[in-house]
Amino acid sequence: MIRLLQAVLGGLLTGGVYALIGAGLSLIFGVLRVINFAQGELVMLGMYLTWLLFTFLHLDPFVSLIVVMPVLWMLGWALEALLLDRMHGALPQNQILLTMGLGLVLSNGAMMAFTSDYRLVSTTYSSSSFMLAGVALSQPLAVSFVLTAAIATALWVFLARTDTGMAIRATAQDRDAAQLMGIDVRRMSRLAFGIGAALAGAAGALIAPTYYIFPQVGGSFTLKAFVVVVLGGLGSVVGAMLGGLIIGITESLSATYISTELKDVCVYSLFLIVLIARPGGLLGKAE
Amino acid sequence: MLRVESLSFAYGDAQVLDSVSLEVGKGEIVALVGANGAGKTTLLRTVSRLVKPVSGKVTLDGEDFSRLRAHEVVRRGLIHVPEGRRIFPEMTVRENLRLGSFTTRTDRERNLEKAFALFPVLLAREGQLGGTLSGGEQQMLALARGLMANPRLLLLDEPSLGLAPIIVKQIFETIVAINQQGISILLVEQNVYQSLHIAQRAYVLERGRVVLQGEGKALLENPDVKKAFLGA
Amino acid sequence: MKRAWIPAVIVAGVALVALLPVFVKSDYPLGVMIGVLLAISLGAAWNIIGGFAGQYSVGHSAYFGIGAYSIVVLLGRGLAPWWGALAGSFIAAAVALLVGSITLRLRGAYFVLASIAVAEILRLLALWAKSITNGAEGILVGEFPPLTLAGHTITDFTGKPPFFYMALGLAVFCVAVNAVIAHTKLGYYLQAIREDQDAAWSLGIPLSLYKNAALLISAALAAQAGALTATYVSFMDPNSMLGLDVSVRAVLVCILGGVGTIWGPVAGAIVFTLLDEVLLRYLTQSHLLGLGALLIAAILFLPDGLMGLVTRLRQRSRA
Ligand SMILES: Nc1ncnc2c1ncn2[C@@H]1O[C@H](COP(=O)(O)OP(=O)(O)O)[C@@H](O)[C@H]1O
Ligand SMILES: [Mg+2]
Repeated sequence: MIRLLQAVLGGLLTGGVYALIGAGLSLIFGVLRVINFAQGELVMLGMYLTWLLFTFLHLDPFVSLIVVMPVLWMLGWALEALLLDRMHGALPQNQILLTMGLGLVLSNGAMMAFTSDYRLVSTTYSSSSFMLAGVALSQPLAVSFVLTAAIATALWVFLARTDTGMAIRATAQDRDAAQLMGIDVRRMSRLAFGIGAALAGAAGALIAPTYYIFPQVGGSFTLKAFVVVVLGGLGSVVGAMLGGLIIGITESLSATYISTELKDVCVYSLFLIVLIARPGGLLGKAE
Repeated sequence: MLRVESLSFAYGDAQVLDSVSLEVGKGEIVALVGANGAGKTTLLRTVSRLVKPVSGKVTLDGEDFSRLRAHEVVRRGLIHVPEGRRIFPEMTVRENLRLGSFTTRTDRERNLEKAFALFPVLLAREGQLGGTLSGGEQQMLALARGLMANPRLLLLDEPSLGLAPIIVKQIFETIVAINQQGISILLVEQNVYQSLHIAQRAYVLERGRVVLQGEGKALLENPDVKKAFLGA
Repeated sequence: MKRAWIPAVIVAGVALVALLPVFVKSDYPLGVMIGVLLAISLGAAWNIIGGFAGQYSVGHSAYFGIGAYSIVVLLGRGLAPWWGALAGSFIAAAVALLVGSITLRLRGAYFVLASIAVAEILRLLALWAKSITNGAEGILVGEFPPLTLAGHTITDFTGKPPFFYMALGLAVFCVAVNAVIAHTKLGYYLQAIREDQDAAWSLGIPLSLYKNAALLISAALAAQAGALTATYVSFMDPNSMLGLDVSVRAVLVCILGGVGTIWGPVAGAIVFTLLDEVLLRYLTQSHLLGLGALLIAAILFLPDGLMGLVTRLRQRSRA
């Protein structure tokens, strides 16, 4: 029983991070109709930036969020303006390949800049844990979960309540109609890509204390983010949040009860099953 | 106030608009009628800059639109209520209206009151998602959303399409009422009889060309119009 | 428009390439040429499902890896390589049939994602099944038994030339399969599916039958490319044979050359391999940086690939 509780709670904590990455991917897809295959690489950049700030300025990784998020936001904005803006209306395949190319450039650029050595952000609390209901939970993951929840709430309020947030949603629902409301849809695309990148960067900063940092770390996050987003329904930010938690728990349950090596096999199998059974996502309408 | 001069448009090799010229004066209702596929929707989309013309010119009160993008036209008071209503299906009625006033935030509360006064049914449905409304309610929402932006000129694309006759009558009455507030209207319709009835002037579009123009009531008597559209 | 000289030029070209090992004695250029030929095979294999049918699989490493592991694992168990290679194609085709029957119903991005997931599952399984694959440590490929005919040894598979001829044979075969498909009913149906699935369906074209057939052929050929690559480099592990890089390479070769054209994979493979050689020299382990940039540039500036550029130049010179 304790083992099950441990697995579920532990999975919930990592799931929060997946949710954040997935929410960014989902937002980008919703507005630009482009699946960003470089999403994991943006997480990787967030991790390296956190590592730099920690190593050279002794900035706490959780505090470094206030630097990492704006920097990644600007990067996302610039990438949209330089690359994706030209791809509007292009074949979806080509858009996918463009972002794949971007991912290759980012990960191999990181390899040139930082070598392929594993980096660590070893804070005093990196491996400390605390007890909750008889279950040992990682302290940094718990902090990151709380921050994730805060960022997710802020995102939700922004999208649901502010004029700009509504304009982003309107652009996602009907690009032409949004323009007829006086919304500059190209600016919204930039904004959405920027926010998506900032969310990925935030996830990178939040997991930096508990993960190895290396140039190729992004790939698995990209794949997980896809799974998260398809579970929640492409384009649905709330769905992505739910999808993230489901993936986190699936992963940790299969690590506990099947095998650590096969946990991702379970995640991807679940993904295929959902994709085939409910192509619109768990929350979406079945087609 | 609106002048369209020799506007041409093509999808690839297919010429859709062939040197169309027309005018809408201040305070007028001008009808644009024509068969399915004549190019009416494309004309409105070109005027509101959703698509760019191959050649020709659009001006509003003398200002040339050639360098403007679609969202910039809205700030100049030209509001396009598109074919098929195109309300945001996953947003509530109130959110749809709020987006309508994206460029006129300071007048939002006042415009909202006016919209609810014109369409009381929207007030009753205010928290409902746009996609769950009936066709007539969606059309009212689309009109109300257009009014939220303080239009000087409204482009209406087939506002009566697919609606029950009683609702159609209501929509046409509303259009007249909107016009009486001093808002000019360019009305695209398949419902030729009613639109020529309320229009001061009208144009007939056929395969991308203006083939007839004149006063609304006069066109109602025109034998060609009668034969083509009024089933006589 | 009869152009009878084309087959003659092709035969002459292949013959000329076949004579190369006679003149080129040093290993490096021969190695690069083998790289080109293997890239042609993989690209041409992908082109059938991705190019003709328009189903962008980004998981072809699955079939490539199945071919590689089949031949090597069976060789280690004492089975002759040609049987191993054949087995690889059969297993890949069987897996393709299973995968295709469930994922080819998906459209656009969903199909892409599903194809990646399948390949990733196989990679993770290969890492896990250590008793068969030796996990992440990989396998050193055993030596080939010499090929004999009526008591005479034809080759003992030492040095590069034997692999060069096998790669040439495979590349020619893969391109020939593309050409045959392009000129038969299957090719026309696949192109109709690519242009507009719904229209193709309403014309009575059985979508899933043809898409599955395309994937099956594509997978069987990709497995051969994998088998030959693994035995040529003589070392394999799950990441090098089943990793996303392999899948991206297959797509990139076709994008560069021209998706859905017969000669696209050939042109793309030449450009890709030569550029990669240069990049390897200057960027060493970060050489994929250059490939990523190339991919971006190709899509932004050359969306129809090199063959598209050729067509455009030809049209301009005619006009
Ligand atoms: N996106 C498009 N691509 C190609 N042709 C189009 C497109 N949209 C409309 N058309 C063609 O343009 C012509 C005019 O269409 P439209 O402006 O919608 O006519 P109307 O509104 O008068 O019914 C029609 O022949 C239609 O087939
Ligand atoms: Mg129309």
